[in-house]
Amino acid sequence: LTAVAVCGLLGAAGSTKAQSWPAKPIRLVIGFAPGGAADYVARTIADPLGRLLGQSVVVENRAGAGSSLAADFVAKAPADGYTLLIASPSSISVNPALNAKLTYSAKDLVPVTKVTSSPLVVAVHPGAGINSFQELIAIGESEAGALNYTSSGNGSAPHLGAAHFSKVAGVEMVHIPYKGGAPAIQAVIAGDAQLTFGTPPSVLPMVQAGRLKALAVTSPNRSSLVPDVPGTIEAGLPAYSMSFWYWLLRAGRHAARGGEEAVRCGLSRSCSAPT
Amino acid sequence: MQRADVKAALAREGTEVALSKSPEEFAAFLVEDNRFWAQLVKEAGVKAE
Repeated sequence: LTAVAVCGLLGAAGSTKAQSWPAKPIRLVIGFAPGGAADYVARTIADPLGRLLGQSVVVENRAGAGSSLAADFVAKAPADGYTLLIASPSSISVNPALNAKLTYSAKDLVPVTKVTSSPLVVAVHPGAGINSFQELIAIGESEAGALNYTSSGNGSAPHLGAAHFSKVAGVEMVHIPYKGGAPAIQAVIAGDAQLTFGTPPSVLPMVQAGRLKALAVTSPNRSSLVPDVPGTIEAGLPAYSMSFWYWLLRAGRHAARGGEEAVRCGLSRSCSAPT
Repeated sequence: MQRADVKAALAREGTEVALSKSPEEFAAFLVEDNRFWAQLVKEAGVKAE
């Protein structure tokens, strides 16, 4: 029995309850200030989601503590379907692994759906003499520390993605952390470092302008976002894969109440609706 | 989120729509993904700041 079928049955049997939610606007909380990728994703989906649910979905920015503040807020909110969270691996998986004293438990956030996925783009300085992903690995193998890479900070997705590559490819690289994605990419353009594992929106304009060369995307297959750049299978390192996600979760600290099924199925159905 | 205009808008920000089949499938995925990122943190040797 699929979850969709379960929702269909319950929807029919409990239609009175299903109609009671949502009876007021829904908050969609994100852990970042307006203007970033998370904010953009939230604002793009808020309107169509609200129309399907028949209620407005209001984006609420609660920036701070590497998105922990927002996750904490939603984890402790009432589990009534009116508080949702756009989360990334940072708030759900990385922060808990980094910080034993976290003030919330990821268990208090109920999974709704994945929303988006992005690979990182492995980009080098055009003058670095590295023409393919295979060449990158060969150079790295020839001498430990022959390669250095920049990231947007310790524990950031570009840092973790590159460190994972080092491990899988058996290549030792030197990490140069910067404060943010822009200076990390600028350092490679300026020739201060050889490569970076960057997010598509930060790297691609530079690739198009010829200031960086894209060797691969970190997903197994090519991405429709960068169709002329190979994925890791084609690039010869199928064991390596890393995607960055945005997810939709909802508050779920308190025991399920009468409206739980309506919320669960209503959200699930609206998110996957084709129109 | 399957709408063409939503997909196009998200592609502009360098990200693709990737929905789960069900909340259950997503919950199972999260358990795996959680392990993956925890392993990455360990590999990278990142210490809490």
